[in-house]
Amino acid sequence: MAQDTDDILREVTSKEYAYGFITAIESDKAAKGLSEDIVRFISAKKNEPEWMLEWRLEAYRIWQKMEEPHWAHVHYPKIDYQNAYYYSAPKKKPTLNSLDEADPELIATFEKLGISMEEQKRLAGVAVDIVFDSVSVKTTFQAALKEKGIIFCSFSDAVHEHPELIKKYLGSVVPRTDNYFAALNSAVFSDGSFCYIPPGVRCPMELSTYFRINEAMTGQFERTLLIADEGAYVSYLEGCTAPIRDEHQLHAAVVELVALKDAEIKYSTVQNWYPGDKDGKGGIYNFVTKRGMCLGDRSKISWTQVETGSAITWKYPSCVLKGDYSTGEFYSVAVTNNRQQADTGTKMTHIGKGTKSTIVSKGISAGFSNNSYRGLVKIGKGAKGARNFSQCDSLLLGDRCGAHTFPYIESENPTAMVEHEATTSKIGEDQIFYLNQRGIETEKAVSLIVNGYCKEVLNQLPMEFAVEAQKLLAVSLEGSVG
Amino acid sequence: MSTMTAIDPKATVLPLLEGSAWPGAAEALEQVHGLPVPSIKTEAWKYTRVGKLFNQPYAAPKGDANVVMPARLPFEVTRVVFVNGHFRADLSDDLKGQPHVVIDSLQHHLSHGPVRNHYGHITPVNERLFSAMNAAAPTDGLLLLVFKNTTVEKPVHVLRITTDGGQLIQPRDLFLIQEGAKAEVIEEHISLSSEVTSTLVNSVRESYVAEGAELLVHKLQRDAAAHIAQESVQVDAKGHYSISTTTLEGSLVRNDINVSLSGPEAHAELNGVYLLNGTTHCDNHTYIGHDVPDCTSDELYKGIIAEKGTGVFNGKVYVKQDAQRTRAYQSNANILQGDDARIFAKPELEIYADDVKCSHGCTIGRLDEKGLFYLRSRGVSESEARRMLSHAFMTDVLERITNEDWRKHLASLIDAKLETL
Repeated sequence: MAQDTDDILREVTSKEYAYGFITAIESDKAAKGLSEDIVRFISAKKNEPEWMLEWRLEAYRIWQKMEEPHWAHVHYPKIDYQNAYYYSAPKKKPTLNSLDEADPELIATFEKLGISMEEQKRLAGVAVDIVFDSVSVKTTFQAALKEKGIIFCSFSDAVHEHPELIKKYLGSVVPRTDNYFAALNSAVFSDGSFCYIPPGVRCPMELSTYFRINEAMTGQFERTLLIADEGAYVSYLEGCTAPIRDEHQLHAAVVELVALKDAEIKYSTVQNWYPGDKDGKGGIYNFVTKRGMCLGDRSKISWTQVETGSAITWKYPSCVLKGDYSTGEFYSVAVTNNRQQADTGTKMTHIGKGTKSTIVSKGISAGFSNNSYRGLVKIGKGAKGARNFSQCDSLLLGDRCGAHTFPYIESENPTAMVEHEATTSKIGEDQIFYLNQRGIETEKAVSLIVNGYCKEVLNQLPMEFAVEAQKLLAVSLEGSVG
Repeated sequence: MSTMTAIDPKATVLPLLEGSAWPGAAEALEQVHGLPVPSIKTEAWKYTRVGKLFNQPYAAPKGDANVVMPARLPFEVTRVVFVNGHFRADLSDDLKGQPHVVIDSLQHHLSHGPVRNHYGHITPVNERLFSAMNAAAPTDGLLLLVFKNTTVEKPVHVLRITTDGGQLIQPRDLFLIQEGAKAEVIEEHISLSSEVTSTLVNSVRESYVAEGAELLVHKLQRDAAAHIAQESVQVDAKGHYSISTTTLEGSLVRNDINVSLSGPEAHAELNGVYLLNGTTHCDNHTYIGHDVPDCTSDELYKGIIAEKGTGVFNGKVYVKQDAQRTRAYQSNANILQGDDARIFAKPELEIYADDVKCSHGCTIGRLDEKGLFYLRSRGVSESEARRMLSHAFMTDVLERITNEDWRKHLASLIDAKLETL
């Protein structure tokens, strides 16, 4: 039986990325390298107003003075920031009303991914803002959202059409000085999504973006800003797949969420960037800054993520619980295989009274990969009666991978309650034996156990995404799962 | 204006570290020159500021100070006394009472084979400034050498007395517990003056627990000096090492415990109690390295932090590749009392083997309100009720102490301390 498990694990580790392909669409590129001129070029390309350019230039100056951080439990060759393209947009920018008019190659790409736009449209009420490389190609369901006063558009459009909101909130959660990659993103971000839900409005559908890196050697710098005004509710989905590349690609996105009084934001991610081949060649560097600010009282931000891709994942979707009685949640499944490395977790900063946070993190390591949970729970002096519960579990499949836990827990308030627990183990032979004994073969047994292990997190995903997430888990651990 | 040359912050201690004849002292001194004073940007010292320790002048420790000896422990022990780090035969018991057991000043044995073969081997001087400082000029310390299959009959009570402030005391111990031998040590730090807060006690102890051997250490810190301590431990196959650290006083306390489980079926048990008030800062830093298969470790630290106290707990369990069938448990529980009390916890797991069962848990909270109400409703005064619950909170750590006499004695000291919280 142990032999069976070994076979399965070998299959798992030798599984190639199923979604690797290159779509040949002509693109409009900036010259290689990074300088003030490139920042100006990007800004000019997007016809940005002067204040936006100034904001970018300031970010670039801040970035130049910063040093690349190396504290994460990941290893990679030095990144040459001058040997990458910082802007790339599909040359044919279609302005379409229906999918029929879209570039057939693009449609084919999405069909290969198994999530065609047709299917996406059929799935109840999903508006898709597709980001193909860096420019929004298509925005659907715009009209239905407009009726409710919801703004959901590409970031570039928002700069032109809603400058007051951008000026007020851009960089308010993740300032340009926050970290090296946030500063880099602030200088050269290409595009992304912007969303504003007016007071008291419950967004009638799940909002969704499909990110995709397509152009060889293009770092992608997405910028997402989501604002839920007083009493508003929105559920936002983000998903990623990327094609096979030999050259490492840097992805440094910034996501900012702002929840005002009584507002709620649910942000779900399924991440499947190209992880590199089984020898660790190629693959995406996913260095992302994601942070939500519970600004108003009784507001709530919930992050759910399923991370299966990227050569290196380095991200900590965080919540700043500023409003009294605000709530932060983090649910995560991170799967690493082959030579993948993940250093991910969350930060919960309790500032307001009666703030609550929940962290559930499930790591699965296989092959030669390393999977780390790193988290911070900080209870400030004024966070009277704050409450946190954290659970971080790691599952090891194979004896050459690593699973690590680095939680930081800080409390300065005697009325706060913090609980943290973590476990690390492999799938018990007794569990497999139990299932075998009931006629379930080892492969299915492993699948059952892994699914059960992740259930708590998968349950948090909207239905459409949960289906996709299960598919991704299955692909990532093919041979042992479903 | 003349250009200022940067002053080495270590200038206050350097004069005291020169010219020592201990083995490796010159090399260690060289490292002291090169190593920076840890700052809050040094990950391992993130929550503990030690820069201020270098802002004052220090004097060499006074070994011949007159002391009024405290009462003996209420049970049979072999007492060894160090005054300001110096061994005092005149105050110690007869140490030659048992054959095959050496209990003596380490300084007297530096040229002896077993000491030469082990001294300085498991405490590197090129990483941690305080270890280098200690190795550059140790004051003195205890040699405990227990020969094969010998059981030390009575617990060794190491009494370390600090008499005055402003001293730099660097205790250096070496414990060698040979195959199948057994020993128990009670280490107690006390002070005779309230001025000792300006004294820095920077200690290093190396312990080797050979195959099938057993070493139990009970450490009690109840003097007001600053303590920076390093315990380096190597446990061989089927060896058993256990340490319980109780911190009741101290201006700044940092306890590093570094255990390497280097033979199959070795076991380590680390327990800790910290009751902090005033402005006491106590940082317990543990590292357990599971280097080979089939080892087990168990760690339990509990603390109550009151007034302006600060508690820090950083526990790391490291499981090497191929250290299969490792079992490692770690638990840390804290109670905060008072608006200015703080706790920083960082329980870590770093695991490179798959057939393991490792877990850690950490809690921060306050005394159970329902429990308090229950006791109050039965006519127990609030302060008494708090004390009862605090006492109960500490019980499971105390119960791990197998020496009943010591457990009772320690419990009474803890209860007395709880009265003041």
